[in-house]
Amino acid sequence: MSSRASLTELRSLLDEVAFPLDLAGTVDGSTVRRELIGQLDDYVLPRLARLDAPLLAVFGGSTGAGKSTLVNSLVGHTVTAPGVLRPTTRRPVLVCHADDTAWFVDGEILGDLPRYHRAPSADPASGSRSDQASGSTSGQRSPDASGVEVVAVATLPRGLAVLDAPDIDSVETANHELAAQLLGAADLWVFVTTAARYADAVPWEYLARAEQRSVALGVIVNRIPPGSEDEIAAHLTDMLDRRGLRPERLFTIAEGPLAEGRIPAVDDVRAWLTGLALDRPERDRLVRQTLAGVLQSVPARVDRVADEVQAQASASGALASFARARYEGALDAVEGELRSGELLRGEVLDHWREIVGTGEMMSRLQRGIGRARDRLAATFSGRPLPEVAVAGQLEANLEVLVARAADRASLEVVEGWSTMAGGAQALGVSARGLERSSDALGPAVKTTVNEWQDAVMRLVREQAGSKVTVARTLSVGLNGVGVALMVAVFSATGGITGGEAAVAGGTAAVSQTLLTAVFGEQALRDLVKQSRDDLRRRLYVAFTPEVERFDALLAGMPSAGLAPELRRVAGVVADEAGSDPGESGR
Amino acid sequence: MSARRGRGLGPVDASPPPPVEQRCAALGDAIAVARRHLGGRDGGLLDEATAVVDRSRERLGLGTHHTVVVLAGPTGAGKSTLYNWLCGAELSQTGVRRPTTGETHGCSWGEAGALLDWLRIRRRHEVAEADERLDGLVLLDLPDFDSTVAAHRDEVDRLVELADLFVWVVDPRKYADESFHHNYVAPLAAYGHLMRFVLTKRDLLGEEEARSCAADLRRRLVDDGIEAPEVLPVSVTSGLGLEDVIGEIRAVVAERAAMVARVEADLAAAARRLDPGEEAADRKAGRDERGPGALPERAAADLVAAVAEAVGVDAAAEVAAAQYRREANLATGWPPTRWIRRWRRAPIAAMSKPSASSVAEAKVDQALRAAADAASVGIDDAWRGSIRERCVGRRAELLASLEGVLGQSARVGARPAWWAAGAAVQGAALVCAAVGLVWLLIAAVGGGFLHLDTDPLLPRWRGAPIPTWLLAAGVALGLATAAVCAGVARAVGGGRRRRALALMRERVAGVVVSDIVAPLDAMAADRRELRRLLAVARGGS
Ligand SMILES: Nc1nc2c(ncn2[C@@H]2O[C@H](COP(=O)(O)OP(=O)(O)OP(=O)(O)O)[C@@H](O)[C@H]2O)c(=O)[nH]1
Ligand SMILES: Nc1nc2c(ncn2[C@@H]2O[C@H](COP(=O)(O)OP(=O)(O)OP(=O)(O)O)[C@@H](O)[C@H]2O)c(=O)[nH]1
Ligand SMILES: [Mg+2]
Ligand SMILES: [Mg+2]
Repeated sequence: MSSRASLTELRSLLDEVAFPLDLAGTVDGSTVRRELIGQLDDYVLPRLARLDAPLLAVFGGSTGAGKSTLVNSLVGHTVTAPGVLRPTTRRPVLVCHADDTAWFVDGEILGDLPRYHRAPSADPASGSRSDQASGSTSGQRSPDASGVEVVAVATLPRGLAVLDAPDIDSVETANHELAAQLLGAADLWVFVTTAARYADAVPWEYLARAEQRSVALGVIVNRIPPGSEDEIAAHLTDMLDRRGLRPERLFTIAEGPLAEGRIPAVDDVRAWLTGLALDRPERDRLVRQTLAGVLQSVPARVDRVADEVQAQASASGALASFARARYEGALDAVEGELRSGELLRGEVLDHWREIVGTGEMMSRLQRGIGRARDRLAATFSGRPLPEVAVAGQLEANLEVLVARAADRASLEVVEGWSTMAGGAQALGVSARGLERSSDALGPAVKTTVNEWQDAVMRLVREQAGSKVTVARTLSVGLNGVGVALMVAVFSATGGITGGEAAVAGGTAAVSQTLLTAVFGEQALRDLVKQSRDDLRRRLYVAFTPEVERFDALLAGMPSAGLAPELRRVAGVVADEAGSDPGESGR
Repeated sequence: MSARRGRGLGPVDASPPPPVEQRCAALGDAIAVARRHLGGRDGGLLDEATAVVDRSRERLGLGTHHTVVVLAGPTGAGKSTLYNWLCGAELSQTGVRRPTTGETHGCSWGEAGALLDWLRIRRRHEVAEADERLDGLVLLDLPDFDSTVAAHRDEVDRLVELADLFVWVVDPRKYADESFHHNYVAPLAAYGHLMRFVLTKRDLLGEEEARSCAADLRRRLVDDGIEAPEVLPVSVTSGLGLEDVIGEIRAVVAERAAMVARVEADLAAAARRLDPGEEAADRKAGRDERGPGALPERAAADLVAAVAEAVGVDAAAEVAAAQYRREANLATGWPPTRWIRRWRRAPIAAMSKPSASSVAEAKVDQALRAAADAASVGIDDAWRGSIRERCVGRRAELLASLEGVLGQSARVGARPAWWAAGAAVQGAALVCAAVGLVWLLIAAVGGGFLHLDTDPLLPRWRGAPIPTWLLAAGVALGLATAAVCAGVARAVGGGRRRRALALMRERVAGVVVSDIVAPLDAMAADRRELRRLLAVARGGS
C-alpha cells in the first residue's frame, strides 16, 4: 500500500491548486479536485492508518429508491426516516454495533464531517424531518445538516457499519455533494435503484466513477412490479456489463406491501452484509480492493486536475501576453508616428524655423541678431524662447499620440479578451473601466516625456563638452542643440541624411548640419539611437501600470511547476499502491 | 404568463393587445433594425430571434384549428400509458424496461397531416370515432428526458419548442428530480400558463400521501417560477382523476387559443432577450427626448471644440491673416523693397493639412472616443461597440470633410479695392520720385559734365529745386502709403482672422454634426423604434 508520506504530499499539492479562470473544463476539474481531496481526507488516509476499522457500506442512489426503508428493514429498527415527499433524507445516518461507534464518532474516517451520537431509542424523524422543513422551504440547510448521525444497534455484527446517504438526483443540490462525499468514503457502495430509475442518466454518472475507482459494489433494484424481476435484472446486468461494472451481488426486490414500514424480503441482503462482517478474509479483501482501486485511480484523477492547472496557466499566459503585446504594439505605433516626422509639422516647424532660420536667406549674423532680439522679447513679453516652445510643442504632441495609443491598446485588450478563453470572465464587470487608460496615465506620460527631455539635455551637455563653442558660434545655444537632437529623434532618418527635407521643409536638414557640426556623424547616430531607445524604455515604464491592471485580473495562478509536480507525486502514489501485491490482496 | 408580465411593463392603456401576426411582424422588423446596427455584435441573439420569427410564421401558417399537446416527463412516469388511454388504443408500447418509448408517437383527432409533417412525427394515428369535443387535438407521446439515452433528450428538446400545451407527466417518486425542475420547468417558466402537471400512479399512494405529494410538487413548481400550477393526481390503473385530465385538454382544445398563446409567449421571450432595456438608466441620466445613444448637447459642443483645436483652426486663422498681410504688402508695400517678401514662403503654402498629421488624427480620435462614451452612458455592451464604431470609425471621413472646409478659409479671395488704390498711390509716388530723380540726374549731368547753367534746369520752389521736392515727396508718399497700408492690412487681417475663426468653427461644427452627431441621432432614433417594435412584439401597443 502507498505510504502516507506521498499521499500527504499529494494532499498538500492539491491544496495549492487554484482555478481563477472560468474555462471549459474548470467546473469538471475543480469537482475532481474537491472529490479527490475529500476522498483522501475522509477515506484513504484514515483507512490506510487503520485497516482493521469496520467495513463501511454506504447505501446510495436516487431519491425515493428506498434507501432509508432498506436500512431500517436490515437493522430491524426505524433508525432513519423514510417518507413519501422527495427528497427525504438530508442528514446521513450511520448504523453500527455499539462497540464500533468509537470508530465513527471520534475516528478520522469521514474526515471533517461533524458526527453526532444518537441513542437508538430516539426518534429519527425529529432530526431529519425538522431539517427537511427548514431546508426545503428556504433552500438553506440547518447548520448541522451535513453532519452524520451515528446510531448503535445490537442487530448488526461488529465490523460492519451501514450508512443511509442522501440522494444523488433531487433538486436539492446540497444532497448530491454530500452523497458524493459519503460514497467516496465507502468501503462498499450499495447502489439502490428502482424499476423506474435504473436507466436514469444521473446514477450512471456515479456508477462510472465507481468503475473508475474499482469500488466494491453491490446493487439493489427495489420496487419492482412483481413478476418483472427477471426482465429488469437481465436488462440491468446487461447495462452494467456494457459499462464494465461487475458488482459483488445484484439483488432484486419486488414492490409489495410494507410490514410496519419494513420490506419483508431483505434477508439475503442482510445475510450477505453480515457475512462480510463475520468473514474476515472476505471483509479484508473488499476493504483492500476498494482502497487499491481508489489509489490506482489517483493518477488519472490527478491528471485531470493537472490538465486543468495547465489549461489555466496557458489561458492565463495567453491573456497576459495578449495584453502585453497590445501595449507593445502601442509603443510601436507611437514610434512609427515619431519616425514619420509628423511631430515636426505645424507649430513645431514654425518655432523651429525661428531657431535655425529657414536656411536659405538668413546669414549667421542675422541669426545672432535674431536671437538677441528673441531673448529680449522673451524677457519683456514672457513669450517662451523658441527652443522652449519647440520642446513644449513636441511634448504636447507626443502626449497626445501616446494617450491615443494607450487608449486604443486598452480597448483592444478588452475586445480581445472577451473572445479569448477565460477572458470575458476575468474582465467581469470591471470591463467598462478598462476600455480606456487609467486616469493616472496622463500625468505619468507628462512626467515621462519631461524626464526624457531633461535626459536628452543632459546627454547633450555631457557629449557636447568642449564642442559647446561650436554651438555658440552657431548661435543656437546648448538648449538649441538639445532641441535639435529631439527634432532628429522625431524624424524619419534620425537626422543623418537630408531625405526628409521635403517633408519638414529643410528643417531636419538644418538640424542635421547643426548636429553633425557639433557631434560628428557617428556620435550623432549613436546619440539619436540612444535617445530613441530611452524614450521607448521610459514609455514602457509608464505603460506598465496600465498592463498591470489586466495582470491583476489574472492573479491567484498557482506556480508553474505545480502540474508536473502533481503528476509526479500521483505516479509515486500509484506505484507504491501497485508494487505491494502481498498487502493489496489482489 | 410572460405575455401578462410584458403587458404589465408597458404604458398603461386600455387598448387591446395587437394581433399575433402584427406582433410577429414587429419582432421581424425589430430584428432588422437591430441587425443594421449590431451586425455580428449580438452574440447570436438575433439569429435565435430570427428562428423564433420563422417558427412562429410557420406555425401560424398552419392555422389555429389544431392544438399540439405533448405528454412529457421522466422515463417510467406513465406517459405512454396515459397516451394509450386518451387515444383509446394500445398505440404506444408501455413496459417495465426503461426507457420504453424511443420515438415520438402522434395521435390526431381529425385530419392533421400537414401539422404532423411540420412536427416531423412519423408514428401517426388518427382517432376513428373522434370525440368532437377534442376535435383539433394533436397529442404527442414523447420519449423521456432523464434516461441514459441522450437521443431521447434531444427529441424532447426539439418538440418542447413546438408544443402548444405541455402536459408534464410526473411519477410521484420522481417529482423532485433535478433533471425535471432545473432542465425543463424552470427554464420554461415563461410558458407556465401553458403547462398542466399530472402526478401519476395515484393508486400506489394513500389518500394523505397523494395530497401531500401534490402539495409538495406544487410548492416546488412555484419555486421554479410557475404561477398557480395545476397539479392533477391521476391513476390510469384505477381510473382516478382521468376525467380531470381530459377535461383540461378539452377546455384548451375548444378554446383554440393555446397555439396563439404559445407563439405570443415565444415572441415575448425573444423580444425580452433583445430589449436593450435602459429605460431606467435613461431616467436616471436625465436624458433628452432623443434617448440614449444620441450625443448630449454638451458633449456635442465639446466634440466641436476639440475637433477644431485638433485640426488647428487657430493656426489656420492666423495663416489666413498672415496670407492677407503678405498679399496686401506685396500689392501696396513700398515698391523698392517689397519684392524681398516674395522670397519668403507663403504662409498658406507652409500650412499642414489637418488629416496629414497623426497628431491631429490622435486628437480627433480622442475627442471621438470621449463623444462615444458620452453617447453610450447606460447602454449595453453590444450597442456601445456600435456607437464607438460609429464615432471613432469615421475619423478618416471626418478629417477628409474638414480638409476641404479649412483649406478654403485661408485663401484671400478677390483682391480688395483698396489694394488697387494703394498700388495706384504707390505707382504715382514712384513716378513722382522717379521724375524728380531723373530730373536731378539730368541737372547733375548738365551741370557737372556739360558745365551748363543748372538754374534754368532746376526751377526752385520755396528755396529748394522742384525735382528735389518731387523726389522727396515721392519717397515720402511711398513710405507713408506703405506704412498706412501695412497698418490697414494688419487691422483688416486681424478682422479676417476673427472672421475666419468664426467661419471655420461654424464649418467644423457643420461637419461634425453631419458626420457624427446626425448619424448618432439616427441610431438613437432606430433604438427608439426598436424598443417600440419590441414592445409591440411583447404585446404592448
Ligand atoms: N410498498 C413499498 N414501498 C416502498 C418500498 N421501498 C420504499 N418504499 C416507499 O418509498 C418511499 C421512499 O422511500 P425512502 O426509503 O424514503 O427512500 P430514500 O431512498 O431514502 O429517499 P431519499 O431519502 O429521498 O433519498 C417511502 O414512502 C417508502 O415507504 C417497497 O419496497 N415497497
Ligand atoms: N400502478 C400504476 N402503474 C402505472 C400507472 N401508469 C403507468 N404505470 C406503469 O408504469 C410503467 C411505465 O409506464 P409507461 O407508460 O411505459 O411510462 P413512460 O412514461 O411512457 O416511459 P418511457 O416510455 O420510458 O418514457 C408501466 O409499467 C406502467 O404499467 C398508474 O397509473 N398506476
Ligand atoms: Mg432516505
Ligand atoms: Mg413511453
